[in-house]
Amino acid sequence: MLESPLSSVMDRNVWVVVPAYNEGQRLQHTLESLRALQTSIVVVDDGSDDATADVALLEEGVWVLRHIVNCGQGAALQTGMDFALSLGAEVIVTFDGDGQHRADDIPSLVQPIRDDEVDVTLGSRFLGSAIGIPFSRWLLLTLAVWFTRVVSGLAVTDTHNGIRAFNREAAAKIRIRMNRMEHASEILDQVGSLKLRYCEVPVTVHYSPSSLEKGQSSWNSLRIASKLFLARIIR
Amino acid sequence: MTAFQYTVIGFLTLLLIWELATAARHVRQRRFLLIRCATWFAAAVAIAFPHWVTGVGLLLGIRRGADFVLYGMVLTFIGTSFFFYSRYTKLEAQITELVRHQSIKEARQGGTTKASGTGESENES
Repeated sequence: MLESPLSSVMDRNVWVVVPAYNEGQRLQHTLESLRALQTSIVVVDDGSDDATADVALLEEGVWVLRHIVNCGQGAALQTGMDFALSLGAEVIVTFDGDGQHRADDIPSLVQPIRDDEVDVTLGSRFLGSAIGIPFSRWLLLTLAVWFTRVVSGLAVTDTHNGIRAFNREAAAKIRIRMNRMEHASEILDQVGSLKLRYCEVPVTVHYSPSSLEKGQSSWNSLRIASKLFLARIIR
Repeated sequence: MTAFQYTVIGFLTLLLIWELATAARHVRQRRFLLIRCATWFAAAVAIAFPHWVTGVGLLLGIRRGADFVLYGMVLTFIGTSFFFYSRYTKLEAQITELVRHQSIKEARQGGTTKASGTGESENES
């Protein structure tokens, strides 16, 4: 159980959505860290080839949704958000399943929403810390920040961070249509276009060799940029 | 006429006949079949009478008929690429909605043995 006074903002009406693709090896650790928060948890197994869903089902009370085919992280998040909303979620937190994020950061994300200061909180590793971040990844993320500032007009310090939180109204308004990793930019776009109140919250992201394997490559970032561009001109 | 013209026009004529025969059988797909027929017919005419294409090119301020065909093909390629990308994204969105619907319907909770969805009816009727 958390000792922090922030933990008082946590209850079963806070839903943590964990998209997971082939995370059988790392998911258990992630879910164990989340369990201490006493929130509701939904894992969306995005068509994994391994035992991701079975690992999640071992955890008492964790909801498990299974995409029969791999649709992408954006699609998995939207599925989890739809499910959480249908069960009355008041706050929805998105949290990567690969162990990069710290569950201890979640209360800090939820607090401004519970206090009705903002609709959306965005985790920022550049306001907090990015442990073990390679220079190439730092450079890529910095470029992404500038790209987002130009395209979305949002003055954020971190763009592709999977830890963020929405109040119920914001989660219902935002609709993730970009299935793959472009969803992070799409969410920011919608936060801007829907004029949602937002703030950034310092978080810690811990890079490990295995998490870096599944992270964004330079080539992927070009794909993301081109898909975002095409999505704007082709409907 | 050259050997190339005879060969290609012969092939296009056969293709046109086959397309028209198909159009007569399949009422629902007639619109696309007729567009294809018009394309094959235009191609046959352009090959049989290349000076007509040159005439159209000159009329539009493009000196060579070949350039006129090239510009047309490039524009068609770009247009069809956008069309099919749009179709692809719509199809992807539909598949995602299906996958999402099914996964929510078959939601399971850890520590329990049975599937437990959000109350959506198993029987739509």
